[in-house]
Amino acid sequence: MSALKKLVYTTLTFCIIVSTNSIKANINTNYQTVKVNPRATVSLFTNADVVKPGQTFYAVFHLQLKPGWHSYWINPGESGLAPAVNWQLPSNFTAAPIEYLPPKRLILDNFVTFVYERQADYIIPITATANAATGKYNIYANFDYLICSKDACEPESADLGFAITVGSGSQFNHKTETVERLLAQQAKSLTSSMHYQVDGKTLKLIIKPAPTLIAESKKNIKEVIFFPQQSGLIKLEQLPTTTWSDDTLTLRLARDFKLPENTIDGIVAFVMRDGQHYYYQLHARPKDKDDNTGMALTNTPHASLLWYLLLAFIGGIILNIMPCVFPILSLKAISIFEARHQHYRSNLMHGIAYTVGILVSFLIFAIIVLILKQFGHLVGWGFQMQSPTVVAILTYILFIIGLNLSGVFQFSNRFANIGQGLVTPGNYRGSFFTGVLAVVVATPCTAPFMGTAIGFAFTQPPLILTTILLALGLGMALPLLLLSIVPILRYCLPKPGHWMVTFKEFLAFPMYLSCAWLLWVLMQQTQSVNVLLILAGLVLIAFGCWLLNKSKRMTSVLGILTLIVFIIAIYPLYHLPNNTTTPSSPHKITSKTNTFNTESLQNLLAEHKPVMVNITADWCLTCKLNENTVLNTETFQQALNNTQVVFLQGDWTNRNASIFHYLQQFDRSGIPFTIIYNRQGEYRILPNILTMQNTLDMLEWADEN
Amino acid sequence: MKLRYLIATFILALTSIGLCQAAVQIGQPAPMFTGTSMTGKQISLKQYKDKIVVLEWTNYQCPFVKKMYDSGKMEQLKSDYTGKGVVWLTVVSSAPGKQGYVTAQQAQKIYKDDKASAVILDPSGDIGKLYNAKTTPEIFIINKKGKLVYMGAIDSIPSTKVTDVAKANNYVETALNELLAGKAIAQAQTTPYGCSVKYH
Repeated sequence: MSALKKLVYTTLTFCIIVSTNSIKANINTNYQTVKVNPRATVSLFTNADVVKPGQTFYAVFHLQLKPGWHSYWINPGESGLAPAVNWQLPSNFTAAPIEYLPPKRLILDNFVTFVYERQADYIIPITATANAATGKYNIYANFDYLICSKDACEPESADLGFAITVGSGSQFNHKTETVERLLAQQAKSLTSSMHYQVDGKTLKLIIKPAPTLIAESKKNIKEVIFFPQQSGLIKLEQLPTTTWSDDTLTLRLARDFKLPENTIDGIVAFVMRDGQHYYYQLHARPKDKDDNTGMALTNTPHASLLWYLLLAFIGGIILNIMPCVFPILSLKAISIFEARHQHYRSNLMHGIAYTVGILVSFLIFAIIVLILKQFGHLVGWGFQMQSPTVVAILTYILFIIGLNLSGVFQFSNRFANIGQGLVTPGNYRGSFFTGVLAVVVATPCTAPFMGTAIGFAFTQPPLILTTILLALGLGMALPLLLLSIVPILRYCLPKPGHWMVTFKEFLAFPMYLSCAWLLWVLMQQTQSVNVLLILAGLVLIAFGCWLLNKSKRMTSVLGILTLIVFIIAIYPLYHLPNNTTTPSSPHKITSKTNTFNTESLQNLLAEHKPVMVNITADWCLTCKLNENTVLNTETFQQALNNTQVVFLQGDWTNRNASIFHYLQQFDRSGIPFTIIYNRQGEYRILPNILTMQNTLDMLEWADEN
Repeated sequence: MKLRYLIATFILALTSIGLCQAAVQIGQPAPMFTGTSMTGKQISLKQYKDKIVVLEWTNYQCPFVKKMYDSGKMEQLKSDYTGKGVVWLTVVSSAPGKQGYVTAQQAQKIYKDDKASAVILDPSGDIGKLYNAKTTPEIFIINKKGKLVYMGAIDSIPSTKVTDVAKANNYVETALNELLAGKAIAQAQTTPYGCSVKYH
């Protein structure tokens, strides 16, 4: 470049700078476009200098924030505040509300907020009215905003302005590109139908069809975030769970205290595994009740509390005939009515004491559950069986009862006697503890109806949980209570006689059977050496019980020996691991059975594969029943092989958070749980007790749809 | 064992379930707490049974709180309603070193003319977390039966502008008037706004 050229160029540049500056200085006489505040610098710019009447242009408040400070989205989240603009507009201009760009979900000290960090742009469309007279206008605005850091919040304010000319043609300025870039960052609007549905404590957002871009790469979604515009609708600390059904996307959110008022607005963000973010505007209307297509199928009927109470009550009654409870109940019934003092009042009192014993036990159970829940443990029905120690203790108890029934030893009078002879007027302790014992031994026997009712209970607030458990207890106490209330009923019982001794001895065998099953559960939970120790403990228990029968007084040598034997028998309990977290042996049935995890389920559904999911556990009797009558049979396996259905089995013998959360999606916390998805991702929940015909029908349904 | 002991056990167990009902919910018993006031007094919620109690979370450096105090509205509410027998407890849950934290000495200067029945210092944040208080200001109202009847914002305009205070519908004023008149509270829960409580 020659010296002359350089000189010309420099002069020219200088002239341009001077001229623009002089123009700016000229306009800037009565407003500012930039304000430097202590924590942020605010500037106001537009994308146009001249507009035609009726034309819309954009004004943008740009915040340059000091590090560590953030400003807010329209819904700030759990603290903070969105900015406010107060316009001073000439009469022939109108300003729309702020158009917010997608925010960032920021969690500070456990509070969820929706913010912009480092810089923020608040876009406002302004329209010159159709009858706006040509000429130059000055527009002023007061921009109030709150910015917060980790430690403090500060309100700041800026009085800014700009000039705009209404003319015959429009003239965009150098900020046009910036504004266009900002507009491109806005959440995309969708033409899909969007609906919401309130379902108990969850709020469902249904987008049909989901954006093609997302639907095609749903496997790469890392996280879905919903930014609700209205506050109080959903709990912000939880991210939505998503289910796909073909091209329909359903987001499930935890409801907060407010019910939606005919519309839910916000932004749905998809965060992909590669770090890409996609934002879509959500504008959902209430789901039309008549719309029976698609997702309507997937709604499990939402039964009322009363229904669950009834279920629990019936479940309680059924518990009475389970092998672990039946012996105790029948002996109690017999003992009441063979009593010499057949006063009606005395019998009634025994019945009530027994009922109270059962109810108190269930209350204590409820309290334990509530305390565990309070400490954030994931407890579902049957959780107590997830601890090997509890299983071992139950084995001991059932075994001791069995030995007592077999006549190996008698309980001393001070103890609650399971058998005969304790029914004297005024002493109701025995009846009370029989009730307690009945609940303890009932623990391993999950009756069919209880899965649903108790599963529901565990997801409910404390009072409802307690009420349902009490209904279960009441049902359990009912048969004996009825016998004591209605004297005539006792004539339906066979007359007392020698057969009763035989009957009692016979009843020991269901107890031993329960022990055998519990030992098997233990085998799945811990190493075999632990089971050996427990078995040795059982032999010692038997030895101790036999000695107990021989010794007359506890203070005798024999009595002390008995005590020592019992203490040694208890010793193996300390050796058990408190909680096994290692997955126990998977229930491999065939090569088509896979171990359940949420990710593989999502992947299979994404590939439009029909899937059947069964959640089982070794301590769940009904689950075993299902396996033996349906799932493990050749008929079922053959039918499964003839379809494309993938069978996933989850094992809940030990604690597992992912299964717990999966069940929670369906308001369940108890098992067995069997669900089947068709190729569209629509699902149906199968009854707790599977029947072959129904299960085969469901397989066919899933395969064909 | 006498039957009445059994029944007593049963009732005892039921009561303990009631106590487990710790989740802060409208219509549910307000969780009990004991705290220390800035003057060193032990303040327990129990001692105010049969009284209407207002719990107000505050942070004197938070602009949303400043708005309520600079406008004089918060003090007016406090003196109006404490005059009508309402107990107003102002709670500071800021942790040491965090915004709004005050030692007892500082508190006695800053809250010298405060019209609250007591200013409770909760630097551990225990009371705040018990009520799941999220913002300052945030208000909880407990009725004479000890049940929570209002929780949420102080008023209807989330802003830091003093001029907005007069324009806003003051939820707490409305709720207390309804409560004193023996009426049901129409708006029992609102979304609280403000600064986050500065727990540690």
